[in-house]
Amino acid sequence: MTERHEQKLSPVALHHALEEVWGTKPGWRRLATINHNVVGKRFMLTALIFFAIGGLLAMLIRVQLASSESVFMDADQYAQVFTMHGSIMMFLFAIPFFEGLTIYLLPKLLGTRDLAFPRMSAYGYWCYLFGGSILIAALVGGVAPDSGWFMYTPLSSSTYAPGINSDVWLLGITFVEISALSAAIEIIVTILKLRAAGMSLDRMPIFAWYMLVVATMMLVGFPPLILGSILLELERAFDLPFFDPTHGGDPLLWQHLFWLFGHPEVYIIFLPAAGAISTILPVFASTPLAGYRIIVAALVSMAFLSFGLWVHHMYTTGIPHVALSFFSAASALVAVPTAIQIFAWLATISHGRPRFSIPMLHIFGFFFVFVIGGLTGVMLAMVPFDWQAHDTHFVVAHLHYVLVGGFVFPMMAAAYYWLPHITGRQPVQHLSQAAFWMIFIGFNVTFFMMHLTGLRGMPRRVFEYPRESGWETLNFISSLGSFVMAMGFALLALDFILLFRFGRRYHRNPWKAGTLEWAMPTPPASYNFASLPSVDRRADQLDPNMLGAQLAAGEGYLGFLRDDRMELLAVNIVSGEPEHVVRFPRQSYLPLLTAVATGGVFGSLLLKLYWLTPLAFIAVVLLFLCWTPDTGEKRDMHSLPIGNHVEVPPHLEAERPPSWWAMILAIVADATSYISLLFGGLFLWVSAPNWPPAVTVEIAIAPCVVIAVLLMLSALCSHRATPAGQHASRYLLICALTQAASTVGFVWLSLTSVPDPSQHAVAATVFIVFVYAGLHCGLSAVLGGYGLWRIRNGYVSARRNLDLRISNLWQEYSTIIGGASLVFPALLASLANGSAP
Amino acid sequence: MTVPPLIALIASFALWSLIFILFYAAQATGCHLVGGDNAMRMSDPYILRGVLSLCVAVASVAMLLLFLKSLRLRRQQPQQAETTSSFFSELATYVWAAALFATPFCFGGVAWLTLCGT
Amino acid sequence: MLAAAAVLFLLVVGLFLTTVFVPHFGRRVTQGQWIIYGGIALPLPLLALLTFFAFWQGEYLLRGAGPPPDDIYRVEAHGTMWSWQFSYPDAPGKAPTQDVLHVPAARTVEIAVTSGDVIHSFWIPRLGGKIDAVPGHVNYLRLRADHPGRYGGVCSEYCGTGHAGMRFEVEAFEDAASAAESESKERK
Repeated sequence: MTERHEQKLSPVALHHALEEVWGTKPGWRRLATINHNVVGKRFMLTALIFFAIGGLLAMLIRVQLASSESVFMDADQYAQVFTMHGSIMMFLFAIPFFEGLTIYLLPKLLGTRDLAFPRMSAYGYWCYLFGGSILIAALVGGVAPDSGWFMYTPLSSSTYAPGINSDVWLLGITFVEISALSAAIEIIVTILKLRAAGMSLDRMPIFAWYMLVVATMMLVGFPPLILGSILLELERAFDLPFFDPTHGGDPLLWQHLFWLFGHPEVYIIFLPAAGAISTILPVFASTPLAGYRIIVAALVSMAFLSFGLWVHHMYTTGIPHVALSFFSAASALVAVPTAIQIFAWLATISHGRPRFSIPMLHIFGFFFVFVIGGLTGVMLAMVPFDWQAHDTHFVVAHLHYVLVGGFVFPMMAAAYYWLPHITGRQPVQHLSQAAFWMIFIGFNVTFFMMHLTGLRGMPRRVFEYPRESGWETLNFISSLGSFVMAMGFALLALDFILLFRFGRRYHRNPWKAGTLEWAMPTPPASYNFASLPSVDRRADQLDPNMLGAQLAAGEGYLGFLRDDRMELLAVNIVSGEPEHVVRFPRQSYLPLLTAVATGGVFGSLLLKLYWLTPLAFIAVVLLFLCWTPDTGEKRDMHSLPIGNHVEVPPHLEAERPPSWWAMILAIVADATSYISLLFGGLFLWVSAPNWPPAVTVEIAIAPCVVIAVLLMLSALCSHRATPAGQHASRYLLICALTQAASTVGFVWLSLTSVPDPSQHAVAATVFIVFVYAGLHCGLSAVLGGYGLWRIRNGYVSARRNLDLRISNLWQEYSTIIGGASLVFPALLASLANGSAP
Repeated sequence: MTVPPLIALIASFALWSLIFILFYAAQATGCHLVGGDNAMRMSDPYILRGVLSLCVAVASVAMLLLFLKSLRLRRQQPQQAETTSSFFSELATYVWAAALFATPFCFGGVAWLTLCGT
Repeated sequence: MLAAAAVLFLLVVGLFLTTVFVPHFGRRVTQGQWIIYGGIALPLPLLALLTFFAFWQGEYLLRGAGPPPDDIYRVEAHGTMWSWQFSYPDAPGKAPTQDVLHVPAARTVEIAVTSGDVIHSFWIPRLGGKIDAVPGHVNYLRLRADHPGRYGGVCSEYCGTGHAGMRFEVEAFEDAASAAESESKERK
């Protein structure tokens, strides 16, 4: 019963009809909203609040260091302050802020109505808010993390940090990272599938290319950190000695896992800001961006290179010079893609007719500050220089030049550029210039001096220094500068508030941009576009004024409401041809409730209420299952009209809809963390002291063979069930049962083959590998049961077998994980026993 | 069989990453097997160095050959100026060139720098 | 390196300001040329040279910044929260010292750095180079003090609340006699 909906509504009637379904409801029902406009703004506002808290901590640091032998704070307070300053700025400000900007902006730039999984964005936001609040609560309670923002063990281990402080960091940050991972998956899928019709990959606005690269980096960058945090928390809570050198662990493993995330992280923060510049700068130069293709190539190269330089944070840990040389050379090379971008921007300006405006002023700030940071970065990439400058205030100066230059200045430019979009008002201008110059001058005074204090030998993270050190004058100047900068930021905040209150209203497209986000009324409606555009050229050279009027009149695709459902268009990944209609679930409180339950998992771990953890975990799984009824259909639709006489199938009947890709990406992220775990085990064998272990790990062959057979059987049945034919239920039942049996098998292995996982790192590693496999098989069994339930309730047909195909991906993947987990422990055990010199 | 363009785009650097991991692992494991941290501080493990240097040379030549092959394949396809496929073939060429340069540049150090120990 | 960095900085910021404020500046250079000359041809040779030089310099420093060391003077530095304990395997009979390291001047010294608890980092700013003291590992640092005198040393890896106070001193002596003299002075 595909009714025709092509009778034209008037623009106003269309607006009201769409707003009714897409819009956020008033009162308490705001908590149920999943709309990207609201979630994006919440992300940005929350991040700014955290930025203010982090900035306040920075001021405390500068007060402390303004004079030698200061008694303002003691060493313990100071440790909490600098640890929290770093952690907040990195994890609670920088990443969530650009996530928020992207969540808000990306669908508009791509010409669609929302991100691919709006409930996941809402869930991510709540995780971020709750996780961040745990950290802030700890700060207020005086039990904040105090081992530095990279939490080096053994200082952060239970021996030397017995309090709750480190647990707060490990659990709070991991909780927040859920939002980063879910955002990464969402951003990739949205860019690949939910673009305007006709927007082939080579016509994407450049910002989308930047975010595609960034999100992919997040997808493989965050899992090592999450894995490391889980392992360290396991060591702290249950004495599994992954990092304890007295039991065959190695503190360097933590450093590798942390920086394997930590260095790409810098580019993850810089690239969205660079993407904003690549979007804004051509508008003010009144000419298209130069070198679009080579910039994309530079981004791809940069993404890979940035994963090959994490050890440049570890030059002084005693790694052989040859190994350092790999990372040093890669660190030098990564400067080239950056230089390409900088000269592409210069080429753009030189071939255009530049206008100077407030965003351009901040872009000037970016050029000035970031280039200095980049040059000191190349210096630090050189091993001998780093041996001298490592862990001094020179590094502190460098990283602030890179992060403030490479993130804060471009983001201020972006704020002035897009605030008119968010508010529908233009800046007032009077305070903007003064605020910029105060921040710019204050920043340079503060941090330029730190290069010098660092070269004069001042280590980082000292809460006092001797009077005779000769560092006092420079430090005092730094502190003065920081107060100027802080006043500048206060002025900036005031300027923004004035803009919200008194800004001039404008008609449309105030900057004369050529991108799609301006082809809509501002502030935007919840659904962005009353009808969806199609694009016939690179999507930064469009005419938003004309396009906006056409789209508002419903002349594009999907300019109507069907079944009171939120609908948008999915396209072919490469060519951008319309492929299917994505029908969204409705607004719901489930994301909030699930995030609360997830908070229960983390909270119970934090308060050491371990009996509660499994219950909370089961609650999370059950709540996620509650998300699913709203995504199913009980009838085949075949094809749906999308306007302009085109018909495409709904996503449930399409071959590779967004949710299928999301599962692929989730598997990529999970595999990254699994491979990191295996490499971690091998690393310990190669590097850690106290090997070979005194304990012997003996793994019986017979149960492994049984589990292997069960796993293969389950993969076969899962494969057979997927087409949703006659015997699908029977196959799924066998699959679920065999996976459940494998789960039991892995639990049994983890309990019997390892004498006592706390005795030695090899035992702990084998134990965790079994547990990892058991969890995956358990989830497979749950998915099998889920498939059965979906079939029984009529959600599945031969056309609508998407649920089964997605479950099948995971079931086959967990079969592979299970197989690897049977082989790897045996390999590690034999290496461990044979490694006696 | 045609390779999806996004995969073709990252293939070259994916290869570079794999080589990177293998070299780092081979160097660390090699040093471990040759004698751990301490024994190697002063005498040079010339066999390990020889093997690794050879591997760098082989990897670089292999990258070069693959690059030339991919160039030839791309030449054979008829190209129009502003199409999606020309976009991707141009991109892939740039990225290949970068990965090709990066291979000997990043790993050349094995020939002459201190291989094991500090 | 510093001068080159300053020149590059002035070049980029200068180009930015000129292109913005001088109309038509740089328009005769095509966009492709801008990117290839500025983004590839300019940085790549510089980086290659710099990297090669840094490797060479690194090897030199690893040998202790001197001629190939044939008679190395070995000492051991053991970091604990929050002090350094120094012992002298090459000077049998010499008692271990706390927070003061005695070394001969103009001779390559090899310091074996270890840790008894958390990660510390051994650094004498004026003698160059630093190395982490990682529990479970022995790391070696070679350096030489060309002239006799006193040099300040710090712990440069954050190691807890006593981190700032974990300072030590290096005394480089001309010969063994003055070393003994200083030691007896300290005992008084």
